[in-house]
Amino acid sequence: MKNNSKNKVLGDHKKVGKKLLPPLLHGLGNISPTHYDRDTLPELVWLALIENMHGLQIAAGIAGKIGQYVQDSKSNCRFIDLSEMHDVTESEWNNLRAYLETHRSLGIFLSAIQDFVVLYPECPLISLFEKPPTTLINSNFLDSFEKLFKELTYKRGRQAVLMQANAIYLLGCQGKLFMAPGMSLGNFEELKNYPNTDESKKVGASVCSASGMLLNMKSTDETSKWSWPDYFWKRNLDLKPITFHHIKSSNE
Amino acid sequence: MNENKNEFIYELVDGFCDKVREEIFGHIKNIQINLMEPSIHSVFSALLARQGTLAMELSKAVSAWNYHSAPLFIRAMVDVHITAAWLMGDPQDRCKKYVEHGLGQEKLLCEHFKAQLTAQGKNPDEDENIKKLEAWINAQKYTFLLPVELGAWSGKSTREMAIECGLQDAYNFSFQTFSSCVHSTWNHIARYNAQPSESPLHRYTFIADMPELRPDIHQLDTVARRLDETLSLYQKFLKMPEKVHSLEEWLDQRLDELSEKYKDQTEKKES
Repeated sequence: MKNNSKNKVLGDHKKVGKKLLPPLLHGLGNISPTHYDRDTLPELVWLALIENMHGLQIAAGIAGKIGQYVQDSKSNCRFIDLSEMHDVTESEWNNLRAYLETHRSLGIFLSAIQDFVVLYPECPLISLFEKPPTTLINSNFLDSFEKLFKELTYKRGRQAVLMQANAIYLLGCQGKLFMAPGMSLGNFEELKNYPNTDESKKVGASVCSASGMLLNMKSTDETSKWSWPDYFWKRNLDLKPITFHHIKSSNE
Repeated sequence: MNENKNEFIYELVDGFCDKVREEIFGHIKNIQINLMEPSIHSVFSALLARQGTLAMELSKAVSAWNYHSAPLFIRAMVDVHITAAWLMGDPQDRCKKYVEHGLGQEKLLCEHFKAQLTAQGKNPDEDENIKKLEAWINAQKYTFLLPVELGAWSGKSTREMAIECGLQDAYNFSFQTFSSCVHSTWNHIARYNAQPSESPLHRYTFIADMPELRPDIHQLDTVARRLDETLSLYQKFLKMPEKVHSLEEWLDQRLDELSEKYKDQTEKKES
């Protein structure tokens, strides 16, 4: 006689009390998913700003320089996610600024993030400026940032993949990530063709699956730690309030 | 044009209600009355009448022909359908249970009223409303002989009842779907009382909304289909000769006729 349990609706789910748990949940127990849009994206968005303004090559170059600085200086901060940068001391910012200046990367870097730190003044990268900027270079920056951010919310879109790839590359340049020869994840060069070749799609898929691990996952005893995403989402409501005006008017 | 539109709707709805009354009457008169077991006749005829009332009430409330309101009625109609089908499986025993459950609920309500009055320092025995309520119950079954069922009246969930009488599809696709509107669960309100913000800077978060939906004739069509299903159920139960009656078809035909009629009138007015 045939076993019909697999043919039943949600037959692969396990009934626990009155809940039907999908295989991944009942197989692995308590798992906490990472949130790309909530956490990863705001943490890494600064890398996308550089790529958006100066292109992939320059963005990768800056990531490489920062990675090299971290390795040389044996810094405790990886300079990947903005939350982690919050605890960087003033003297270390000064050192990084000097390092980038020596390698003729500071001006390019700052030009890409200046308007961003004006709108988000608690962004840790503001410490890279000798004098914190207070006025926008591009008065429409919020609109153009919103457009870029929209592109980035699609994790497998070109700009989002390049942003995540740069973050992984930055970690690799610090000597903290090793890739075996032949692994798709190491073939960053191919990403310039993303998503138009099969190989670039393979690399992109590896990048997307690896990007979640980049962020320091908060454990329960770290709830009081400053969080850039918390600030970022709150600040967005100041910059672009949700008004509910549409409720007052008939919208048939 | 607006005047014509109103006339069109009223003519359609009036005709629909007449047709509903005619069909309900045609079936109820076939239910055998046995005064030794009166609950069977009373329950089946009243349930069918209830189905007709629900259909008529929604059809007359044109502004409610939308997904905010229509499912409130239509889910109740699916509930009536499943209840009737389940009762038909063992009319004698189940109709008695059904009546007893309803009366038990009234008895419980009555006791709550009494407790509240006592707490307010009043004498519940002197309260006219309680006297009337008790008299209504006692006329059917003495309260001192009436059990109070705290669970479902049938001892089963609606899903179990539906499965037992082969109405699993009606349960899965209609009852469950419309239940989300009745209980205002997230899958309903996220569609009809919220919309994602257009800005990625808001994380596309759902924002409350109160859209005023236009009447949708499809809702009336659904009502007709639901009533057709119940009428077919009764036909089989009552062993009535199979009659190809369909409110849904009637509705389609009537819509065509009225569209033609009002199109002519509009053209005449315009010329």
